Amino acid sequence: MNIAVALFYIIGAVAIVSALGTVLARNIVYAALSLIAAMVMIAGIFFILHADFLALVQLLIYAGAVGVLLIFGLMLTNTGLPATSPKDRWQRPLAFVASAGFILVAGYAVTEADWMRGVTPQLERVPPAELAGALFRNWAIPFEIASLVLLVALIGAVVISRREPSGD
Amino acid sequence: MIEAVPLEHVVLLATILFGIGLYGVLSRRNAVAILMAVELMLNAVNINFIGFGMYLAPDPTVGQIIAIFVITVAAAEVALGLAIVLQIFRRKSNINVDELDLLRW
Repeated sequence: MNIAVALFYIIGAVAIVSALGTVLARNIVYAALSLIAAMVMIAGIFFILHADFLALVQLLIYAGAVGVLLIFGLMLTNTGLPATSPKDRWQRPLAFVASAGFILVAGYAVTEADWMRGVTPQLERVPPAELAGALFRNWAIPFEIASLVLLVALIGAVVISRREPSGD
Repeated sequence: MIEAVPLEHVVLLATILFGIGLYGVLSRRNAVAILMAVELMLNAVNINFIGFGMYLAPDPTVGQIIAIFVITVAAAEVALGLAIVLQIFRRKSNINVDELDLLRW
């Protein structure tokens, strides 16, 4: 077992623990910090899967921008209440059954499927230049649409979160 | 690369993370916590895209490019979601999703 494979299992285990922290922590700030830890671990998984550019994007956008945005959201909507309250106890068994059922069924399907039939994985690293070439040639129209989506979301977020104008 | 992580284990990791995110979405009541769990689920899907793109796709760039689009849409989603949550908080001083029953006449 070489180092990259061993690292995959270690990082994967830490990612699962951080994800559990995200959904189980009583203090919501701890939940946000565990989420950022999980994002960093997932960036490590991307590195091991030879997706270097995606790993850097993951670190910048998720661990950086989205993490800061979520913590800002927590600060601005601080109700002083704990993230979980005794009243939502009845939701938890149902949520547990649903997610455990999903993990068991999908996990069974994943382990039983014969993914590699007739395929030899090449597992070569894609250089960022090749990725950029594909993005700006073959995927140019989806790229432009994505930029439009981002622009609309940006303006929409500003308009929605703006305070109501008092007079007009 | 001689020895690699089996694809099953990559997809299994993504499945477990997606299931944990699903639990968070279903069990949390704080709207921001639900958004965080949704981000976790989107990340799990990205692991799947990159894993399948790496191991099975004839063109190894496709999986990564779709993952880039997923990240773009997720960033837009979290920005708009937080804006909506902020506006709800201004009006109701509360972001507990169980109490947001304005549509129930």
